[in-house]
Amino acid sequence: MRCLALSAAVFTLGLGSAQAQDYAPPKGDAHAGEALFQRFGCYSCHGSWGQGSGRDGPRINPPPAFPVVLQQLRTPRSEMPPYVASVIPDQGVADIYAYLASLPKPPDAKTIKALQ
Amino acid sequence: MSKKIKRRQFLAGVAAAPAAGLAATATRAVAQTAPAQASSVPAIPRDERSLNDMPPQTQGKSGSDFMVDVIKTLNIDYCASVPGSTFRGLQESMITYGNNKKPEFITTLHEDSAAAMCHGYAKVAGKPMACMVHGTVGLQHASMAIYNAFADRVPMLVLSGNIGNSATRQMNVEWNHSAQDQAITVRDFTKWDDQPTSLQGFADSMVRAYDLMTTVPMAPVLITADGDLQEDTIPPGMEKKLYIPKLKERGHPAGDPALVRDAAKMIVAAENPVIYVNRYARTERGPALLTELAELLQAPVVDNHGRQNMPNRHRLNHTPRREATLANADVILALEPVDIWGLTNYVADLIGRPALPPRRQANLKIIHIGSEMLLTKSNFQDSQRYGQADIEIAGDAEATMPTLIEAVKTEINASDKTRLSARGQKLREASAKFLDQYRQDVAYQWDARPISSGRMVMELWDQIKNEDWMMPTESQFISDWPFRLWDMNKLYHHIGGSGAQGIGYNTPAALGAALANKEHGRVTVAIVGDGDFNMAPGVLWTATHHKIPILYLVHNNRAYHQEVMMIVKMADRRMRANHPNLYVGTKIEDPNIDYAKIAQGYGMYAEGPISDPKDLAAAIRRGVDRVKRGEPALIDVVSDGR
Repeated sequence: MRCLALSAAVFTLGLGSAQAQDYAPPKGDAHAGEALFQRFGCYSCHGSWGQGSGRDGPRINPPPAFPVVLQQLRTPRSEMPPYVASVIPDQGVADIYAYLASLPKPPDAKTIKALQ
Repeated sequence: MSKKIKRRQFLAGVAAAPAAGLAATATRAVAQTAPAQASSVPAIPRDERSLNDMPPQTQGKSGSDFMVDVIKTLNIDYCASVPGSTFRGLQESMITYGNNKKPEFITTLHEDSAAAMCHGYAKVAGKPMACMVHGTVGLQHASMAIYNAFADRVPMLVLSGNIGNSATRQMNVEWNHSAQDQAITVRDFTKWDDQPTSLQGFADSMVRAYDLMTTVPMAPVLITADGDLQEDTIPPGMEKKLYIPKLKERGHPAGDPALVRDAAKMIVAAENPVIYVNRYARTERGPALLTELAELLQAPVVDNHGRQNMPNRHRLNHTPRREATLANADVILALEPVDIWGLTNYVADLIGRPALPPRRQANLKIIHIGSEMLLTKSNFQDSQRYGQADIEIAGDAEATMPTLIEAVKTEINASDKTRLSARGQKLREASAKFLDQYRQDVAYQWDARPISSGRMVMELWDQIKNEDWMMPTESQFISDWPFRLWDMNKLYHHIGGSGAQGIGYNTPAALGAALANKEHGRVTVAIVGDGDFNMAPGVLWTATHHKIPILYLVHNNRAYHQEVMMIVKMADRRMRANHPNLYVGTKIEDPNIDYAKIAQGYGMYAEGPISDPKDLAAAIRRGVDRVKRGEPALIDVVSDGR
């Protein structure tokens, strides 16, 4: 099943621009965001670390610019279902965003023995 | 007779009716009082002997002994089964008269597991094994696995018992387990069935069944072995008359050579041809022929993984760029695609399920070589939506390939070679980047908790990459990481999926594959979802009892995760994803299941639950060591959804 496609909009909406990058995301609570990421099922397609699966949902770790995330949630492209504000208020989105932004940077694949 | 006469007779009848009615009443009165005319056939059984008067009973060669003679001519190595009274004669003959060899009786704890083992076995061994199921109830248990194999076009010999003669059925249970038409339960998804009523008929039908199921399009067959035929002594004089038809090797149907030449012309002339394969490779020749064709044409291959069709690291294998590759094609050569309609169409998972065709070239032409149309049934809809190609070639694609390759060689001239070479160079440059990109993708999830599918798959790969290994299980629920990052280049490295997506295929089918791998000493590694595992946990006992080496990794995401995604999507559409009941019915937790304990209960070496990714490599190493020593083992990995 092709489920969520959050970061697909990064390029199609043209919001990966400097303008979007300059937009400071609202302050969010990463701990609360992690719980919301699970509760609303974001993890189910994008993985618990936003790592993506390559089949059901793309990687959103690190997240694209906040406006991109918000727009894709509210008016998604592809087959991702919409998350309306009555389900996840903007503050909840900010919390989720803070969670995704807080995840550690990945190691270089070349340093992982099992990946060689 | 004229209408006039009819009317006259009718009126006469009406006039006579009152008198006739009186006469009939009188006759009935006589009939009620007069004794019935004596019959020469008594109304009660004639044999008045009591059970105690019956002499001790022994017999010489029985019907089921001959049945075993027949089965042995078919070179069937194994018969998986849950014992049942409707085939007790045949089972006894198999294990004593037949010395429990060819076939060896493999005890399973569910008929579904027995049939699914046959499914996995056949795809590795390249020949069918048998399962033997109890009349009616056992066949119903086995039916889902038989349907999976049918949808996957894989052969298996299903033997069912039945007490066909109602007069010889014992009380109660044998009635429940007998049927007028035993096969009707599975007739919609078997290639052929028979219920022979003589031993000679049994021999003929068994050889015919084997012939049919192993000829493309392959599929399961069912032979019902009558209980009386099994248990009765072969009558004097009959044994000398019985014979077993010799099984002859039969070729598979190949495509029309004239159409194949047309196909060759079209694909050589194409600017951007693409080869699309799905359930294509049957033998070692399949991948070799496909590679030869791709290299001749310098064309990319997109593999839908219905079989191990082509080495995944071959530079012309462009499966990672599936949609981009298909979108660029002006000719698609589809080899056993299963779903030809789906190559150019898509029903989106949106409200109303709108048809949203994928991006394709306006001048796209499609060549279809496949056996799909040679076996279709009406009821169950595994045939997929009807689609048409520009050149339709009915026949087994692998059998057709040598003719196609020769035709392509004839069509390619000197000027073509430069053009094709340039195309191939671009394709090779593009595919050189695939591996590095995927490795970095897995790096993003390396330390994730729950353990990510990428880490689980790559820790396993690190332990088996220097072994002779095979992975019999489906990979869509582990994000296809093996296809992206493992080096898959042998026919048995992967065997495709369940066919019909009936859950509960992977765990038993993997054991069937491991049974076929046993004589080769291969390390079989099966990654099974917890949902799948719980449909057939009893196969762990079968693995232990029969000493079948296999490593199970339970991809324990504690959910029916596909359905988690579906219910979340439904709730999102309906703006109810914040409802506290969102996960009711899809999570497998509270309590969490301890799969290692289950395995240990079945006598199997097991570790887990493994929750820390750092503990995974060592656990897998110990499991692989067990498998290399000829034992089965299980590791319970607490993992992310996908």
